[in-house]
Amino acid sequence: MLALILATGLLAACDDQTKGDERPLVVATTTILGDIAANVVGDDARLEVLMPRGADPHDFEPSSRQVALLAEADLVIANGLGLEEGLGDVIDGVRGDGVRVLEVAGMLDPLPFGGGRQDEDDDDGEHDLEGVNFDPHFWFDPLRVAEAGRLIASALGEIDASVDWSESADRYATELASADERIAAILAAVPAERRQLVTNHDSLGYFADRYGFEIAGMVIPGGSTLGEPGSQELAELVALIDSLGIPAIFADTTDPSPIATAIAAEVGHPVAVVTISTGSLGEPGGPAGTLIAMLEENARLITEALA
Amino acid sequence: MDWLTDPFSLAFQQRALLGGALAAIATSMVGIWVVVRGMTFLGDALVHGVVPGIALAVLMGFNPAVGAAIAAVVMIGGIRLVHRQTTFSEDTGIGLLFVGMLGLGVILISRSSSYTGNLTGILFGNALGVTSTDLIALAVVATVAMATSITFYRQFLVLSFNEDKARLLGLRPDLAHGVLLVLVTLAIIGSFQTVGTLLVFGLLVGPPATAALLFRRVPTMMLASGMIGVLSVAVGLIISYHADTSGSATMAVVPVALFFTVLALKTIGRPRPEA
Repeated sequence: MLALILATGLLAACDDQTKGDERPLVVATTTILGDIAANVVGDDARLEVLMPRGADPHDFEPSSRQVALLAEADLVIANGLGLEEGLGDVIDGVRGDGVRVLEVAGMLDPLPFGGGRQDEDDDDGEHDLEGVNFDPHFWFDPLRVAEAGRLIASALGEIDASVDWSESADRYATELASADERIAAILAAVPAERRQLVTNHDSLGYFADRYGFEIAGMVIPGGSTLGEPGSQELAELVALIDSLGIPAIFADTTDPSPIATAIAAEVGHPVAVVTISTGSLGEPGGPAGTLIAMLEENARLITEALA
Repeated sequence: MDWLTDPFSLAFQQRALLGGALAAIATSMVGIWVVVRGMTFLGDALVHGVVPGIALAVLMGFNPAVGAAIAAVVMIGGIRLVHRQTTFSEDTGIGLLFVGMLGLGVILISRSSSYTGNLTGILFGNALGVTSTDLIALAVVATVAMATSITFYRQFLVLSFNEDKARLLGLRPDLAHGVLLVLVTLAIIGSFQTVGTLLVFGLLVGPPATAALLFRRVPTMMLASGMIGVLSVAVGLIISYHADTSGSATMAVVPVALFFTVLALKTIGRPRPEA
């Protein structure tokens, strides 16, 4: 016990040198939001990102130090719509303490989860927890990302009006618009009848919506990476992949599902399990080091697999 | 002493400390009986066995605590049924219900077409996200746990050490056992939604087991266990802050580490006769 206390004391000695920094403190939850925020704030704010690159945002749990960062932030940028499953309580807590929290996904005209799979009794809104049935993976649509950047800029404008945040947000929006065109150009190689996606978990709804694809099926039900598929569902999925002649299943880098591989082996024709980045950016400088790079890389991988 | 005060300077940290401490007191009162009577497996089973109740509550839109309570009643009823109607020891019933209920929970979560993100948030709370309302609920649970433990002290004691004697003395061991089950359930359900399953279970077993290593009398054990539990929460929060480790998990690991430290010290010191 004494050793533990001493050890923490030593750790404390090599602590923060950031005091005295006058710039606003912006904390983003996911690596993707961190990248969007970085494009907007530049050097005009201190930016911290909670989740490590490569982590599954669905089951990240914060340390006390990280929550302290949230509590001290001038602005917390969260995804919302239930993406940060292990953080929900904590974000509600700091919001209750008066921290400004911007949950972007719900403000970007969110799509319902997996078209047609919605419950009928959703509209009363009475008992529904906030956004239970909306898809949080908005970042697969570059135009929504641009809008997220503008939302961040206007929230920052209310905190520090001395900086013109909208200028950088507009510049980022222009970059995203041209990325969007490049992605559409890459995907143009996929003929209309092959625009059918089978994914590991329900994360590509916005991609499908933006670029004219259809989500034919998914391995893990319910949007979260924490669910488990049923045997009949898997059998139906195998039959579906067989009948449509789908050549690939797209799995996540953060959750390489062995089930996807098992399904691929069941199907009569060769099916590739293609790993794409969905929930988190990769290492800086790598193929998925920034959101734009990740989206273009995903477009290339999807085109290679389907065309 | 900044390193000691920094981890508790912010409101959420103070709530985490208070919430963790209340959970530690509630589970220590009950945990002593769990450890002494060998009911650890039941505790584990209950933590997971209430999943289908909570899942159902979230999917159908009623209070998750009610769902958890219903699931716990079903579970305890099932365990008692197996115990009474068969010659199997109680842990067979616990095992059956544990797997059955947890499986049912996963089926419910996976069947639902709605996004399960919020569901897992409800299932596994986080001590770092405890709200003021949660604190009141935890205080009630801790008070009830303490009051019941004191009221039924004699029954629980005899039940734990000599069930036959309890029957002879007319202490109705069945009733005492039933009350104890309810109490264990209350302590677990009352705290795990706010501070997380892992931490509740860590506090239910770790501090009482450590206290039982150190002391022979149950009241002393309870007191020591409560203090070890509160200390574990505080040390866990300090480590989580400075070493940047997951909050609830760190707090849950501390009492376990403490148990093995005490065990090691006792083993080393064994050659000398105990006073």
